[in-house]
Amino acid sequence: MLRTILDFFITQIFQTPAFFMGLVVWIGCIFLKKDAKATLVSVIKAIVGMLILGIGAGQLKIASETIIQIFTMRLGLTGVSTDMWTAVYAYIEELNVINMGNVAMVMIVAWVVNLLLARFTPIKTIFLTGHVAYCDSAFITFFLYKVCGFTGGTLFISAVLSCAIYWWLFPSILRRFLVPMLGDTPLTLGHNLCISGLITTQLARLFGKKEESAETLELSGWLSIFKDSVVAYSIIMSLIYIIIILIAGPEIVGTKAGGTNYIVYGLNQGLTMAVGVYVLLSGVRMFLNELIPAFKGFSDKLVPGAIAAVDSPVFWSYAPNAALLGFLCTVIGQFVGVGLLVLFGSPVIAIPSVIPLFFGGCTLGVFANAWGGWKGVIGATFIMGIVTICGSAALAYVVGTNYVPGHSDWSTLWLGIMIILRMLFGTRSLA
Amino acid sequence: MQTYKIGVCCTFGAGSSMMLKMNLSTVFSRLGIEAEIEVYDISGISGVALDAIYTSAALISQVEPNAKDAIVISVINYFNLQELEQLTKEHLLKS
Repeated sequence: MLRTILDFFITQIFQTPAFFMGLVVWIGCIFLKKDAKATLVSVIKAIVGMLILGIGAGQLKIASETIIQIFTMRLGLTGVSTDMWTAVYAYIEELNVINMGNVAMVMIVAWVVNLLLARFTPIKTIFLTGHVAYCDSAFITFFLYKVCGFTGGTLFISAVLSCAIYWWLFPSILRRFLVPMLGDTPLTLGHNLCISGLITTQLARLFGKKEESAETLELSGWLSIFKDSVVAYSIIMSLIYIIIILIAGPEIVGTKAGGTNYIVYGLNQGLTMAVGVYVLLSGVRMFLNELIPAFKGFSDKLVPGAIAAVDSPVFWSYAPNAALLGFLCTVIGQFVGVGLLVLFGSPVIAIPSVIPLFFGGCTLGVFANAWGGWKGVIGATFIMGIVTICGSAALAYVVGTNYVPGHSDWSTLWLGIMIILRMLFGTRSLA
Repeated sequence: MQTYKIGVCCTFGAGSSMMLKMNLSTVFSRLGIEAEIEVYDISGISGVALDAIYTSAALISQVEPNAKDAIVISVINYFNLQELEQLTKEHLLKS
């Protein structure tokens, strides 16, 4: 009897991401001493938020998948999506096969390990970017499964430790390089731009002087419309998809589009990306709203004087112009990167996507400005754009997938780690 | 006493605005202000009836046209509680 109840609990609650998140938030409510009414509201919102996330991510996957197929059919090359949310969904689908799809469990346990590391070592960084933590858990679990062939307990423990160390150590390394900007504010970046952020600051120093800040430049007001994520996704993804559709031609697109005009079909798929992201984010917002305050309260008690690793837009207000300039040069860099991949006959072509372009570009632009002024921003973000797109293609090849996270840490730090792991565990044939 | 309706706005409404929301609630309780704080993204905030919107100095040009009657307050450092307190006193409490 007890056995049956336990089995039910593990298979039906623990391995269902939405219910698991509800459970975690419930524990958080007990910790925050919320009353029964507030607890019920929080738990429901956490569960529904997770379900909404799934619907939005599903939309993204469908829209990217057809474009990748069209790309592959026309050119005989493997197209790779660099959208992080699409990757999360695609990876969880594959992880579900080995019963490891509940990456929220990896995230929560890794967070606890992060807290313990911060509590008992001199490095006091606590990773507070909830949605990035969720994505990272999916990415790292999937990579370790694909590259090392880990499953079950080994996979779980190795993924938890990798996430925890990544969140705890790398933001604190980056922080030294942000001192010109932040002074002694107890902050650092909690995003997949840590090692690449560090590289960017050092590149920027080669190109210019920090005294010549990008904030002295006049930039076109047009660029600022990309700050709205709906607008950014609609414009950028539609443009990229329409370019691919035009290269593929009406016959090939017709096999997917049916009676719809092929260019309208491309436009539709691009706009669907905006829809997917908007739905997804409303879900993410809903569960993080319940989760983050509890986690923050818990970490404040356990690790006094912690350094918060937070999301990238926090830093944009230090240099709004540099952010937009960084975005622009990242776009140019990534497209040049695609050109280079084609030129050198790479079998895998990475397709640029909004999150690495905009969130990556803006953030790296602000960091570059603090070390090399506007010349530094232009030089460093352009180079990082090329590195990011070529590294994404390489990562897809090494791991063996059509979807990669796209941010520049995955194209540098994690690409390196995966190449080493491949050499150590390289039993799977490269196909 | 009045309960303010406050919006916190960032590009995605998931990461940085959450931090600002938590820091703001600390400041509000210090100043004895009753407030309901919600997070939004730039598209989501248009048309919502709010007393004030706190947002990043980098996003002010996008937020202001969508703000309806709300006062828009531009924040440089989300984690500087003194700055948040100062801005609250200057803009929210004087209105």
